Amino acid sequence: MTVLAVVLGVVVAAGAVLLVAWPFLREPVAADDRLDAPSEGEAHWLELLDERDRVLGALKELEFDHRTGKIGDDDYGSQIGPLRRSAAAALRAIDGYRARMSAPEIPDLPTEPGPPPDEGTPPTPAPVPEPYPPPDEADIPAPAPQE
Amino acid sequence: MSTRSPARLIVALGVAAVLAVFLLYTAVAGHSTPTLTPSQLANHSGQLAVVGVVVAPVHGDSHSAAGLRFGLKNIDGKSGVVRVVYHGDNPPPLFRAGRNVVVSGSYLNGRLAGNNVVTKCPSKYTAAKPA
Amino acid sequence: MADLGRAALVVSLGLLVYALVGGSVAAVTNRRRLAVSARNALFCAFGSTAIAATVLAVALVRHDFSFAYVATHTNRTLSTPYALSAFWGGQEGSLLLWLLVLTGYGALAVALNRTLLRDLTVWVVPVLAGIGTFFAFVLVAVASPFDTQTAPLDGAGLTPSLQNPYMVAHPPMLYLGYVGLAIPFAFAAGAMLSGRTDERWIVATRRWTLAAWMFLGFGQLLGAHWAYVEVGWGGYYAWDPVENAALMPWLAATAFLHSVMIQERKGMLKVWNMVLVALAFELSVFGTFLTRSGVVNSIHSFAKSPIGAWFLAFVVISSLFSLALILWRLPLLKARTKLESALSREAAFLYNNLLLVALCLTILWGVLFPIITQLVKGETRTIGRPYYDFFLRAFGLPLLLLMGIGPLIAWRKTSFRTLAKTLAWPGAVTIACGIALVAFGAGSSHPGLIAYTFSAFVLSTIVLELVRGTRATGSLVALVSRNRRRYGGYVVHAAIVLLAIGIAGSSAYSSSTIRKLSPGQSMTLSGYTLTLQDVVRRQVPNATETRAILAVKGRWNGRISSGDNQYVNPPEPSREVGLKTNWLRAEDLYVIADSVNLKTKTVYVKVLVKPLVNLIWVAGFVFVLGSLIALWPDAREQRRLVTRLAPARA
Repeated sequence: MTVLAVVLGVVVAAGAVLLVAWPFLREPVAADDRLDAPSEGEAHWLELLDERDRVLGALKELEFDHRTGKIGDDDYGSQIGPLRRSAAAALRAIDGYRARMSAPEIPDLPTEPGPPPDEGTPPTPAPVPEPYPPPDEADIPAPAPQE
Repeated sequence: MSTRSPARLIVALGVAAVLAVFLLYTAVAGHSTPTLTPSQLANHSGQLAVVGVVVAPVHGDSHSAAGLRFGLKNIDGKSGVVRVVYHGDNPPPLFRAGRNVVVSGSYLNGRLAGNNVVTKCPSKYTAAKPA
Repeated sequence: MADLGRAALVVSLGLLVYALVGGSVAAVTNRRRLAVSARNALFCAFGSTAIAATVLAVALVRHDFSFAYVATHTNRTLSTPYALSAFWGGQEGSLLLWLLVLTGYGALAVALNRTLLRDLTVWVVPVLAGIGTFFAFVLVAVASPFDTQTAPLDGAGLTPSLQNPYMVAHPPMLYLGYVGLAIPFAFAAGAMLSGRTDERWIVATRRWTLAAWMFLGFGQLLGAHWAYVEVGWGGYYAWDPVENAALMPWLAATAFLHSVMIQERKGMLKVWNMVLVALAFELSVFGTFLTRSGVVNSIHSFAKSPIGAWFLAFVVISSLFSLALILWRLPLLKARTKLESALSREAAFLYNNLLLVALCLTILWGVLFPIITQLVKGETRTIGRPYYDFFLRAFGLPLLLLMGIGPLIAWRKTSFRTLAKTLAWPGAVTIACGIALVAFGAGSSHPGLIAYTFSAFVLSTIVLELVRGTRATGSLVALVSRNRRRYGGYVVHAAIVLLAIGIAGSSAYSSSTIRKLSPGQSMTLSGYTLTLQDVVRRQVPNATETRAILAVKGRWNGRISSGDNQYVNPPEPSREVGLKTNWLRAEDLYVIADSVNLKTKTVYVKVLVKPLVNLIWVAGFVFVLGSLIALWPDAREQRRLVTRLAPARA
């Protein structure tokens, strides 16, 4: 075995050990070693966003299908109302949740954004979520005229 | 709006349809061919396929009346030699004595009348003979 | 240098075991530093595997015959590209390629999602490490590419029929596909292990799945093309177990790719998706088992190898793991909405799932049948081509039809009247095509005629979708760029249609004849008259070439030659077919000359005319184009994903 091969092997193994041990070397004693998982509040927020996106997506699909003739006026008429109500409810739920989250008396929700998360640093409190950017106007087609 | 989802019904009907197609095929047209080694041929006859290694001598022509004639033995060598008379398209170029093949045809009275020969690609996953 | 390669593999194994054990402990006990450490171990495993791969690649290029692997699969006359291709030409090298791609993909997937999906990737790491541990173990303990020997003067060389550009590209494409299916599987397992069974794992792995599916599909077409031009029996797919081993996971992945759209939009088919992704992954490993174990007879004859038992054990354990996970998490996999109508796009996707899975399991039954009969009856029985052809038609033709109907149905529900109105124009085009095809003689084969008319139907529905969509949005470019996934999918559908037409044409409508010719004698087939002019033999470096030269008149005028090559090193023959593509008539003239007698100058000539076969190869490029369109990053979708998932990263 050549000297080069031995040296390379040792360097590779040492590098691997260093990288694997790095989190412990960087923070020999961690103030908080918990995994950073979404809290219940954040999980609920995600569900609300998922529901809003799903309903808005369904609305967009319905409008597009109607415009392209895949769905008739009767079916469109029977589906658009409930879908719009669901969309409104989803948006209201998000607004309501956002309003509740801003209330200082809810202890598990932060009022200030923390520093950006970084590798090896302890988890920071979740910042207040930014408002979801509104869908592009072009994505929300104007309702088709009802005959 | 219906409150009962037709999803389960669709899946059940779909599975039933698939099974029906399958049963229909196997009942009407399905058949499988025994694939045997030369040492397993003793109590068999009729349409079958034999997997073995080609044994010299190999002579004749698959297009002629007398056919291409050769022997087949178990790949592990632990069997007698089965005589094969093959008629049909020329066997693949890899066909020769010592090559593993699958011969399909009709077996009767210790002789295989072959009508199809498949030679196996030289194995990529075993050591080739050194040059 | 072999020692370096060996050591690198041992280091990989150690790192993967650490990532598996440490990652599992970190995920279960909620420990952040250990989770990051395990993730780093996965990254390092890729690095050390890359070193092992580099050692083997260098040895191949340098013809270092002290490596037993290099001596077995190359020789000094082999050019560098083919010498490098021997990397995946043998058992050990191909396993190393598997591990390299797995650790590379795994490291990248985890790195890209480590911030946004931190709660998922903490589980994904041990799952990927578990898969990697198996392959690393096999490489270290069972089949090492770094066994050494006293270097012979020259190596055994590469089989001449494998010295072909398609055969160089075919295996790595397949591996990028097979191994790529491990990523969505790992994320699905991570979702179930973490209890986060919402759609994030699907969104995160969608492009991975699509890329793996694209490589697997294209890789199969490369193999088919190699068989067509190189093996020279006139066909391209023989329903051989090894060929089926690639088709089955592709079918399962096709079902998965479609089915996840329903979960994303409607929160339905969650259990289906977990089952499909596990099925696709397990079938990809099972295919690897079939290929290497020698347990089924195949023309791709890989000898019985002890590695088969290890692979079988891995497939069984990982399948039980997947099943246990799905059963455990069934309560979390309940659908959010119900299927409202049997005539809806959701239902169409469900039918799609059923047909694809049925076809996949039918093929699996055919592959396993010899093993099952051996176990049950003590006698091996093989299912032949008619079985596969029957079920391809039984399930494939309805799938083709569904490909046309599905996109035209609305979500939630469609009335028969609306659907009939939508289908009016494509229906009319289809009927007109059918009548024209019968008039032109396509009625000689009923399955062929059905395939052609269904294809016409699908193409017209795609055109209809594009026309209507363009009218609705004002611009075709805007239409496609706003919904790349959908319209990329339509391009892929068009590719499948081309494939269907090519397969139907070249199988149902091909013709062939065989004759023994002496110089001056002729034979005629489908408007071509071939006259044997001469039989020649010449020496070239490393081979003796024997050719029958034929003059062709009729639909095409020219000369064509066919025969065989006898190589010196390695001492193997190869068939050399004569192939002329008549682009005007969209057909191939395929000539196989055999049993050449140089004394009498007689030769047996088999001639085939294969209509539309080249559409199969064109379909491959259209398939890749459609996949790339669907894969193309969408900035708006990315922004939404980041913003939506941002709270999970804090």
